[in-house]
Amino acid sequence: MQWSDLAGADLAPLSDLADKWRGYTAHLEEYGSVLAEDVAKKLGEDVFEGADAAAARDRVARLRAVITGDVLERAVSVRDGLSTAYEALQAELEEHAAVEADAGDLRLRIQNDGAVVRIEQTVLGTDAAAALNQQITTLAQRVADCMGRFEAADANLAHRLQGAIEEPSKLPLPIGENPDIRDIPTGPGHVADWWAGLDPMEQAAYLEAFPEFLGGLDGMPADARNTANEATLASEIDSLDAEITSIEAQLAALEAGGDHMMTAGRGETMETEEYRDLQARLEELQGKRDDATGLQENIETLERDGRDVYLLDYSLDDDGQAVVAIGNPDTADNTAVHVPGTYSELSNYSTQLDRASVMYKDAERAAPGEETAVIAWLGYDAPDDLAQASDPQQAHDATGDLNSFMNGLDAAHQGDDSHTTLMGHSYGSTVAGDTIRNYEGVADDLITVASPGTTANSAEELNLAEDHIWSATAEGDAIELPQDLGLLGHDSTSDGFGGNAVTADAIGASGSEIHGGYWKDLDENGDGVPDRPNSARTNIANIITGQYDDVETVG
Amino acid sequence: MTENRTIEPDALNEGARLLFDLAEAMREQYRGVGEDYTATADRFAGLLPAGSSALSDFEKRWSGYEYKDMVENVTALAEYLAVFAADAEAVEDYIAADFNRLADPALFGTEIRAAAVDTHSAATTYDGPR
Repeated sequence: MQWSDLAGADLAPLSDLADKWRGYTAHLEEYGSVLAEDVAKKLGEDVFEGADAAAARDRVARLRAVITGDVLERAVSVRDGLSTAYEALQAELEEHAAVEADAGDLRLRIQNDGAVVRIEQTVLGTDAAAALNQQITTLAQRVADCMGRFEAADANLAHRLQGAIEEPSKLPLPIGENPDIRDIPTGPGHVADWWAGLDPMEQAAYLEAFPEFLGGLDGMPADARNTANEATLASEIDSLDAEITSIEAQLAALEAGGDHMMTAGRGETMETEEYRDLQARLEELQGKRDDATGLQENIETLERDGRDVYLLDYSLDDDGQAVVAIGNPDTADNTAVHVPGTYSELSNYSTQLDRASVMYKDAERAAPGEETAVIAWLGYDAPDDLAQASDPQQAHDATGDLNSFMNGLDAAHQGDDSHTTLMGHSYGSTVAGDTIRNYEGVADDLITVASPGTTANSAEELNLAEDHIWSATAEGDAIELPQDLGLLGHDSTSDGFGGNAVTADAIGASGSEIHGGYWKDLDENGDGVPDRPNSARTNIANIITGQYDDVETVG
Repeated sequence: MTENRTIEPDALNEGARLLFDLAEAMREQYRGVGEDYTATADRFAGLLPAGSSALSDFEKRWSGYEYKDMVENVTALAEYLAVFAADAEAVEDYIAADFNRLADPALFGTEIRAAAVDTHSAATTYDGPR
């Protein structure tokens, strides 16, 4: 901007627009009043009842809050920016005129670049020349100051006006408008904040649009994940049924037409490649369908028993995965996440739910006044055999997902923090331990049950204080051999490892039975009637509920 | 999931009318602000300091602000209530899926919406449930 640009400038339109904005902000306040007073009165519970009614009322309240909050604040910023800028800019235009007048009185001229020069090149005496030079210097400084202040006020106004354009709207998604998946943030904390900022209508729209994505998104509340996953699971079962029916019809048609067999030579026949491929595909689909319906049935069984159950994630791919919570982790005082070990897959996931259910009941007994959630986290590809179980790679691969899941629990939790325990059985303890070793703030306590190793060589390598690291191995457990080999880290129950070794009863006639006996009851006198839970269970319940003084340690 | 619910169509219609009126008022404001910016930009022609970053291209400083979003939001809510009111007599028990059916934009463009609301009027002429 140059000095001459300010000559003849008229900012009256800016002043008028600032007045208009005063009107706009008043209107925004009126809109809020109409929503809060007039509309809300027509939508009371006496005339409109139910979940949709509540959602409509929430939408009215949300609109009012945003319009009289964020929208109004930004309008006020523009309004005040215009007023302030007008006053500041107008002051500099007046200074511009004053400087020009003073320059004229002194027979000086101000050039476009702000330089001050004499109009008449008359010869002056030494004193007069010095005085004039001083006046020129003073005038040049006033020019520079005036231009500087004008440009600053101009830049400030530009910033205010641009800010009102560039900030994304905080208004909700209009009803019926399709949500955009790109609006969903990443990271459990951001996800939890984003979801909490939506009103029920928006949440319903997102769940309807992206159930598969939101069902597995860490940071989402448990009830929303459950809604999404139940819908997706039911939909997947329908799709599997349809494909199974189609393939069965194709196979029947081939058989009816005799097209399923072909001559293999020397009078022998064999099934055609097409027929064999269809049979293989049918078997695969039936397996997935069994896994899916099995998961549904297991959840329904728990619900029939009065449990509050949440399907937090699942996958039918490969061996299948599932993450199910018994109890609501978003409201629980204590949350335990249990990672199962080798051979675990969706087809035998009921075992993990049974164990979670046992631990849930034990925790309820240990702390009857507190709310507990126990989660069976089969969110990774568990080893299928002992060779895979001797390699820590599958544990390494799982740590990122498990850490994200744990962070999601923390982010979605309501109220005070939950006391969180991460535990694992067998290779699951390797997953849990490796996660604690690699990430900070994952959980308050770590429990390893029948652990072949945590990938750590001592408790010091784990991101937890030693008095919050707990290990249980029953005598005679088949895991003792891998513990001795130390392929997955040092035995966490050994003296040199650190942490706390806790008692566990050996229940079972063999090493492998003992390995799976930690969630069973003990028949101490051999009369066939259970006398008490495995002491490991009691210890786990006390750790989960934070009753450390009641934990029975070894030695 | 089925739930019994109270729906008083007349009250919902009145709520819908208020919202339609509000949306119309917002729409007028939306136009008004845009016109004011254009007028201001026109008036600035020849009156502005040439190098100003804030005041040059002044008409581009108005992007509709958030009026457009507000109008869409309030109109959609009004339609939602009006459709609910229109169906209230025939359907006493809603299931959760009805919400999504009613919120379906395709539905809002059909005869159900046409029967429910008159969007051409600032104050709706909708006379209650069918």
